[in-house]
Amino acid sequence: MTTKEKSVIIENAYKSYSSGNRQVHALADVSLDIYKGELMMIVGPSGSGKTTLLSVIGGTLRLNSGSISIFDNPLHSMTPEELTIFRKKHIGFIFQQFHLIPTLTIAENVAIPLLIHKIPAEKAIIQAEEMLEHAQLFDKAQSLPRELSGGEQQRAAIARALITEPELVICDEPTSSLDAATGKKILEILRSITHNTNRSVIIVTHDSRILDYADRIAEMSDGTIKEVHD
Amino acid sequence: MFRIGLKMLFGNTSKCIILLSALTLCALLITEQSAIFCGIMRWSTALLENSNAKIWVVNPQVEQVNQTTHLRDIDLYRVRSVKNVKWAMPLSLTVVQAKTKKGSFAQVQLVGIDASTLAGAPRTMVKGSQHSMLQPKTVIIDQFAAESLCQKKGSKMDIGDIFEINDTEARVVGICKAQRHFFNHPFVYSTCSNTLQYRPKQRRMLNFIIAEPQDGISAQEAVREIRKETGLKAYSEKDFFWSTIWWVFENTGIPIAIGTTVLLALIVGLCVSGQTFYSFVIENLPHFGILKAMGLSNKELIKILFAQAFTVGLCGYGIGMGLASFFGWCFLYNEMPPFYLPYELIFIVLAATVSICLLSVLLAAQKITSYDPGEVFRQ
Repeated sequence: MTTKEKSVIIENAYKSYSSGNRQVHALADVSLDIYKGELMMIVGPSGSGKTTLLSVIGGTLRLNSGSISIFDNPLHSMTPEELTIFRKKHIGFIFQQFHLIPTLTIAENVAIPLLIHKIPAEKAIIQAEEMLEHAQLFDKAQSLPRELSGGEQQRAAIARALITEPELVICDEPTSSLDAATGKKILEILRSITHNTNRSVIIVTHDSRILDYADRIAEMSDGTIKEVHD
Repeated sequence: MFRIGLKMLFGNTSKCIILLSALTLCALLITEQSAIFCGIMRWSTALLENSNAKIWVVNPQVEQVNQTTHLRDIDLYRVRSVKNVKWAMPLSLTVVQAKTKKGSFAQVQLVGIDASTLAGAPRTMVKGSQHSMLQPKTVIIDQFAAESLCQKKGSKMDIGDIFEINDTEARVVGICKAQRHFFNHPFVYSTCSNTLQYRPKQRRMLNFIIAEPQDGISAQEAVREIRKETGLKAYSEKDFFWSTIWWVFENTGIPIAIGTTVLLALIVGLCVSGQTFYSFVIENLPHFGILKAMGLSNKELIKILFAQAFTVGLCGYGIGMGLASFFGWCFLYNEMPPFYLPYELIFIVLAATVSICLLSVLLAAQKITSYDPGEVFRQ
């Protein structure tokens, strides 16, 4: 870890859902700090609240109570429109199933965040191809996602998440659809991004094979953080 | 982002083809049926189009141009005496039987016009001159009559040919261009005095009085004056046209028959395209969710939906209109069924197609706007 400056501050976060007649407490009094240049992994059994926490940090889910601040922006008090703009400016997403749009080429998929930022299409595609060159996927730029292996698709998804240089990258089970060797490669990429560019990377995972790559690990159970260890 | 949206749609070949087919079929059916309806309406007002008169005076019972209730001869003089009328001339119309060159019989619309002025004579002559009609036992026939009275496929009647109307010889002295009649009878023109030999004798022979307003006086003003002074029914050409159209609406099943097809085309177009577009959105909901998660606002997403729907809508409209025009061109060759595509119809069909697209987008948009971007983490 290169710095102790906080990027994410979560205090006493509560989130509950209605499930039939009963309330499910997905997050119960969660407090967590994440630092810049830190690769934080969140682990825990299914239903422990990992994905809910990730959604809250990603600005796609609102808390019932408590606070969350990312780069000094209080997400808990933002309107949905402000959250949308915040996500666009500050957060990169990497998903378990890659979620590349199947009818677009890899270059077009990677260019999407730039197009959302209103960068002209031609310029966006050129930047996307440069990004793919870094991800050693330049030769696949004009391919469709189905023509790529799982590892290549995830590298393309990482390129898409990083193309706007977001300060925070959140990853949902980035290796669970990949074999062990490819998963390790992906984690090496994510770790180098974290440490070389001083970004915060948060990974939710079930995959015990990759825990060694984490700077810190938060263990969740029943909607609470049981332990945070290095 | 529009390009991305369009690639998302066009990449989904099956959905795109269904959408395009539905909108094409819808545009084709609406255009074709409406154009046939316009063609029928044009046929029903053929005499007005062919006779070129600004004012039509008729029996008070007459509501449309194909009704031939008679006027008294004195009515002509009464109309001529109206201050705002520049001139008024008789026009007679009757259906008579003609014997073709080959001996078969066909019904024709016999139009009798004033010999001194030739008011009401056909506007466009293809062969011969209007004045040749002044000779005894002569007629001018329209192009359809030239074909249909000949009976031999491929050949046409020409100037100098003779046929019979009610056992009386009629020599063709001219061929004119005329709008086809609603009952598909060919038009045969002659002077009023000549037509007396061709048509059965009746106590009253005058069907219409055609007139022109004084210089500087509008047709409407002259019409009001004629009604007031004579008690006869008078119409401007435009009013008589619309009166005829409304008569067809009120008294025939044609508008309902064609209107039902147009309505069904709209409903089918809306249902198929709405349902297909909705299922396309549902299928792509995770992708739209990702775009939302990445920071694309609902407003931008709806704009993408509009771009998708209107692009495919305009393609469908273009293909449908092209196909309808092609069918129209084929119909025009045979002049059956009537086909008339006014420019207003092009815009009406465009508006109908755009409305279908708009409703399809509205149906799908609420699904996207209510979609929680956090859902993408749960898939």
